[in-house]
Amino acid sequence: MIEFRNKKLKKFLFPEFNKKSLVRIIVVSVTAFILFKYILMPFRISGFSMVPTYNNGGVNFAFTLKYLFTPPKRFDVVTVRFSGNHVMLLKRIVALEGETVEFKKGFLFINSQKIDEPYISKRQPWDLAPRTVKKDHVYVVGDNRNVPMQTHHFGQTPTNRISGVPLW
Amino acid sequence: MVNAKNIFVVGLLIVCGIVAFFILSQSDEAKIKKKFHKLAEKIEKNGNEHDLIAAKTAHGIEQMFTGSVRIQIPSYSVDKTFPRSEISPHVLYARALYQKMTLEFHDFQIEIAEGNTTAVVGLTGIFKATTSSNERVNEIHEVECTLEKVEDEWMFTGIEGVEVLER
Repeated sequence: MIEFRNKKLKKFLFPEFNKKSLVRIIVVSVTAFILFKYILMPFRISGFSMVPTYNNGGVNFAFTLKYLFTPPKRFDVVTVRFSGNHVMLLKRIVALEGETVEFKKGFLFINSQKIDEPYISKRQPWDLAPRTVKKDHVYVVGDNRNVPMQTHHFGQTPTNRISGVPLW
Repeated sequence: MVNAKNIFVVGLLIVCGIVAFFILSQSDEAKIKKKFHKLAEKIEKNGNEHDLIAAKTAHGIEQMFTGSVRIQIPSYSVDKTFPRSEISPHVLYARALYQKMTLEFHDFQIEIAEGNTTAVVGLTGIFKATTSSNERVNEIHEVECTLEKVEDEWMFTGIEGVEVLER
């Protein structure tokens, strides 16, 4: 049997169960529930869409309050509510409402201006005719452009589908 | 005089009352959710199945739909209205194609229209399957289904895949 010489350690690990500790347990549980259910939603990355920035199998938290007072900006990485809250997409915003998006030989053009994307390591020659981002929408693309365009999930989505940003 | 027998009878009556209350007061939302779970149960396939069982399952699925059904899946360029009788052949084809398959529904958002005769249900559908050549399929879609109440029974009348990212 383990004997605790340090009484403080014993008290910390096995606190006396009384009314005060019960209140403490309830407060911690409720706080954790609210925090991880609504503010810092844990998620596991499944897929290679954001490689090399985010790798398959990585774990992160979606911070949901990021756009409470500020609008989304270009190059922000965001989680997009894909199906309910069960599945989210991790993508990078490349264009905002009213802007024209185009891909030429794998390079991104916004309003006909070539955009420097330092987060891209390799690219395939994507070609996408110009299109304008609708009102209250953003255009999102994954960082992994080293795949055929047809197999990559990207496009414009309503801003209200943005559920948060990854914490790191 | 209160004896064990009386207590048992009263207890039994209370339990019966509670069960009857839950059965009779089952809300439309609960009925709709149950319908989806029943559909998922019917669609599930685990290994080889006899043609007759497949036909019975397909017929069972068909009976869950109204006379005509509208299917819209923009990502697959599908927008079609067809009679219920065409559901069975499609189900049989899918069952022949896949060795194993499961369908799960999550994130239910049920809106029942005034009059309790139609409902729109938003949900997440997760379809997992393995083909006979051992290829795995894993499809996740946000889906909006419309249901109609026919003789106190909720029936599927339309299925629409929600396009989240529009190129």
